Amino acid sequence: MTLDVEAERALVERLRRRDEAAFNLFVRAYQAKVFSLVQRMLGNRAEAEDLAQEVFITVFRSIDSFRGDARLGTWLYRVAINHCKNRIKYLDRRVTRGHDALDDEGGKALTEGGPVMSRPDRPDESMQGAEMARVIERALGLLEEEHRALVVLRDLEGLSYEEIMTITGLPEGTVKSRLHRARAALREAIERGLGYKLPE
Amino acid sequence: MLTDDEVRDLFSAYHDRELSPERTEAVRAALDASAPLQREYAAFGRMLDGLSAMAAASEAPLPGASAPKAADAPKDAPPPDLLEGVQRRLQKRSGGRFYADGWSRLAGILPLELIATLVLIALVIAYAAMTMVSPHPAPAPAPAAPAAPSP
Repeated sequence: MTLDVEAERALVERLRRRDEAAFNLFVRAYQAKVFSLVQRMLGNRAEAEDLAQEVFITVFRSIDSFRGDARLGTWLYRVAINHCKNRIKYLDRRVTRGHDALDDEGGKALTEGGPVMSRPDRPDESMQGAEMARVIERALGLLEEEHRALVVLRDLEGLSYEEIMTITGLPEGTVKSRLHRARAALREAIERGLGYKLPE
Repeated sequence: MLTDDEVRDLFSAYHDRELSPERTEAVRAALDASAPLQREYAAFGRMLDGLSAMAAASEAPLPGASAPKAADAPKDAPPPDLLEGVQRRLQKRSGGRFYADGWSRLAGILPLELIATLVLIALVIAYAAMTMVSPHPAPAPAPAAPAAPSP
């Protein structure tokens, strides 16, 4: 759901007054986007459910700091991405993230550099649909959080470079070069997991 | 003429059509001239296609589409009680200042249209109940028989 500028301004005014009905509307309008982003960043549904709630609580508390120079949805993405980065660091410190996300054969293989699956006779037929998605998800979980954020925002959430610049606070050239490095790192992680080069 | 490494560094921007026309032409010429680079770019594009397919697979169904079964719901779909959870946390952390009453919570969980419809139905039922009472007033109870005079 995307609100037009006027509707968004009115909603923000109501949010600033801590209007509960307006906040309910806001959460219902944006929960799918926020949850999808958080789930993709964390790769763990239980953590994502918890963190998505925290994102909305942060908005409720700090809506006064929203200056209106970006769209509300873009600002919300920034709040969500910052939460994700902090949570990833926290989970890394607890050394649980690696176990939660990768505590299976495929995950172990990815971290150890071994193959997730045996090399198929015809690699061109191997990377289809759900299988490709699983491999990519696992590989995404191995990227450092900055790279993961860029790939998620650009390639999974479909945001423009301009929106990503607003969310990350990075200049355009940096977004482009880091996104390229992030995609290259993702490709390496996928190929490491597969045990063979991606077919052309 | 770009070197192979320079071309590789431009794969992302080339794919996203973020290069100037001159740069785009230079990358295209380099790809045309090198079969290995072409294969690398094709593999790169295949990975990005996989990402696009993932994104498309988890998008919500179009309005008007039949409701998906729970098992068919995208795994990126938010939990149905996300709003309720947010409300509970806000109530607790604000010491009851926000979302203290059940009504404001219910208003968020149920669509306003549904609440309005339910209220209308309740009013109609109440009105019907009042008008379905017999239109003729019940006969007044017969006056008590006068007491027999005492002898």
